[in-house]
Amino acid sequence: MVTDEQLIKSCLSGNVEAYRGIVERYESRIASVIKSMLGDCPEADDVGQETFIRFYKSLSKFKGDSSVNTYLTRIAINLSINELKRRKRKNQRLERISEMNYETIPGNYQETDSLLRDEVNRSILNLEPKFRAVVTLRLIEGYSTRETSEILKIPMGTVLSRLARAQEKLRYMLSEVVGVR
Amino acid sequence: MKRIRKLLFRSFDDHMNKRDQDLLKKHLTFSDELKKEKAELELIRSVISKNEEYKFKPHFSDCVMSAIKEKSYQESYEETFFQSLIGLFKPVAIGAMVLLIVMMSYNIFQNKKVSFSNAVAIPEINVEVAFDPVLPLILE
Repeated sequence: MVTDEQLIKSCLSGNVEAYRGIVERYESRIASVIKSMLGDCPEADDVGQETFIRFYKSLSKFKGDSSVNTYLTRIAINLSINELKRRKRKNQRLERISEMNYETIPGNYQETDSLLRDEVNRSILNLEPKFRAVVTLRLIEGYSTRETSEILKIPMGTVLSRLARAQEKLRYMLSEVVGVR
Repeated sequence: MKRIRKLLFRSFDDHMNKRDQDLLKKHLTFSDELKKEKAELELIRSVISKNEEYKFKPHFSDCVMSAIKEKSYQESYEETFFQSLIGLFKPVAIGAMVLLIVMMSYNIFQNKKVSFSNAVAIPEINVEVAFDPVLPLILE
């Protein structure tokens, strides 16, 4: 199997097509990060595309200090946060959340699970971007707190306090739904 | 209680020391409210971790590759254009400077007097004349 380093080397030597290997390898992981941050909206694809283009442009600066995955995830999170700020500026955030398509949730859950999942997704989308980023990386993507701090370039203590705060907010927002069970 | 709740929130992600672990455990044994809160947090976290698998639209990699190729072409075109501009700037600037020096030297040589007004061939006008209301009419 061709390694990331080999693909990058090939790109840098002029073989642009080698970059397709990187895109196909990390596409689903980056989709998950971005769509967890933004919801399943059309802008997510644009942010995804921009993530890979940005990485391609900075290939010559890539020294391999972090893995390709960490680097791409960092770009994806930053671009998603920018997109959220842009939405907020345009004052469309609330409208968009209500327009979000939640019908793509797999049907192998019971109705109550599905309802709970809807509510949880909705609540995550109501978190501030900085909290949403740690929830996405730690709870959805399953990165360790150390990896999360490395991706977001923030201290471990900040990751932990943001996680604690995010859980508190989620519990508050979901108090009625989870309290019933 | 606030501290215990903080410990509970951190307990999922942080390695707590023995003292904090024991403290939380102790409170969890006798506080039903804390037990309920822990169960709710576990439920929320389990729902979040079972998040659906998202995907980009089909042919995503093709879109990225064509955007990259398009941008590379555009950038190489722009780069060539700016490089040629930069390349042209130097000889044009040097040529203009040489021409200016030749013209100023010629003017000074003709008038046989070294002064700025002679060099640029502008007649010296004193303040009184410059602000004379009749001057514009004469110039016209």
